[in-house]
Amino acid sequence: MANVVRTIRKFFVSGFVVFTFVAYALHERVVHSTAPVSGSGPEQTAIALVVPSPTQLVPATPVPSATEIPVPATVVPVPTTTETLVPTAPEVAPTTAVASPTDAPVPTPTAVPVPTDTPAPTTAPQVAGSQYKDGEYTGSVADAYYGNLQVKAVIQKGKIANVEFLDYPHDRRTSQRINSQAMPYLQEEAIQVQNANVDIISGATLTSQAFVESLQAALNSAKS
Amino acid sequence: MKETRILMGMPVTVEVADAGVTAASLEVVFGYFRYVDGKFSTYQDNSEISLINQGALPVEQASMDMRTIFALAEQTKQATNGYFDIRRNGIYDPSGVVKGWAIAHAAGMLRQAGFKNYYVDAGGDIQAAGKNSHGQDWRVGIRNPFNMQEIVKVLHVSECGVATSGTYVRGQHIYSPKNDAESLKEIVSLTVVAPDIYDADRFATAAFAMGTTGILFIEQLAGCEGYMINAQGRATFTSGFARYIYHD
Repeated sequence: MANVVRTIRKFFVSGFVVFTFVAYALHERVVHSTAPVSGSGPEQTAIALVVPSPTQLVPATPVPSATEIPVPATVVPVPTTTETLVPTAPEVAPTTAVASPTDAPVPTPTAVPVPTDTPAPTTAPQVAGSQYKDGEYTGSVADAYYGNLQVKAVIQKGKIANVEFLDYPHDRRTSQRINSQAMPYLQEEAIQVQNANVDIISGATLTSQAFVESLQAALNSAKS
Repeated sequence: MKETRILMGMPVTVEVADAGVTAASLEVVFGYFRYVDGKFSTYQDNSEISLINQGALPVEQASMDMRTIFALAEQTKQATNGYFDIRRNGIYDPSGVVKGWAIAHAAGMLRQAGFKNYYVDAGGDIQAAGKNSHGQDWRVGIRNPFNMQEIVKVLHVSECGVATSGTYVRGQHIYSPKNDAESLKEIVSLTVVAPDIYDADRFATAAFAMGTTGILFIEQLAGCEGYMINAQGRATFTSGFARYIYHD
């Protein structure tokens, strides 16, 4: 009798395991086929509303072999104390400095709101005593480690009116999705180019070496 | 009055919207950045940080400013669970903490001079106070990581620091002590808004080094909000970030 009970129990347990597996497989199949596909539109979704299915990311440009690696929900350590730090005064704060080509005074264009089609550095050092000829001058292609960087200097009335970026390193290769369940408070959107005027632009620091190099080449050719 | 100089290898812009500002007021700020560069530049062989790295100067005997920076770096390392580390392969490069610290101090110099409406922008990291010359909050654009000529978000800020960490201009300049370089390529830009540029800058750097989970770290930091852009051009932002978004 005990044998029969044991056999029946085994049967049910293995049956349950098989059923669970099939149910899970079906669930996965359904979830993935109905995962929302985001376009390039300005849609804005609260991630909290997205059920386990992570948003399928559609790159604006073709991405070769985009591998999706789910990130496990990790607990991010939070600092318990963050003191407000007041920078201490420097021992010496020189108000006058030896003039060097890199910190020569720069005439700044007076327009306050920076138009969106103008890159951040609106001015550049001008070598004292030298006059540039009006026009547009393309700098050399400089190696910015991750790619090339090239600038164009626009000279108006003998002064640098603008510096435009013709080339800069960009990389958008692999893809990885964020575990949506781990961040119920975060929101998501597709980035969209804005047209509003701004006072300041926040962005990653320019590749100083490559920037100065390419700009110098452009300025050299601007000299008469 | 607004002026830009190339200092510390990047454009540094100072604008003061108050009446009574003179060229000399701005010159004091630029002079301070020159002083910081001379002390902390790893590109100058005779800077104090280079002397430390050459083994010619023990940290304990360094200047007060240098020891302050080392203390701040150590504190930030602990606050970010080791993600922020100025020591790499035995060489110290404190630029990740020096920049925000210098901007905060420069802004403090303007405040002490009696100005109320100004900003200091060093290479895209900003401390802004008061209003712009039109009497509005300062408008800060977040640069498009895929096209430097464009901006993808407009913020309006006052009494705030705004810092962006990214890979798009300097290549992979942020070294993560924990994540491999591959996972860092996922995120191309991470902007942090905080009451102080010192916090915004160091936490933007640390959060960027955390990869895709960095935005969660910002979410959990009191007073800090963040806007992260991934390699596919999608942005994820923290719950309180929307209040900084400018709408026409």
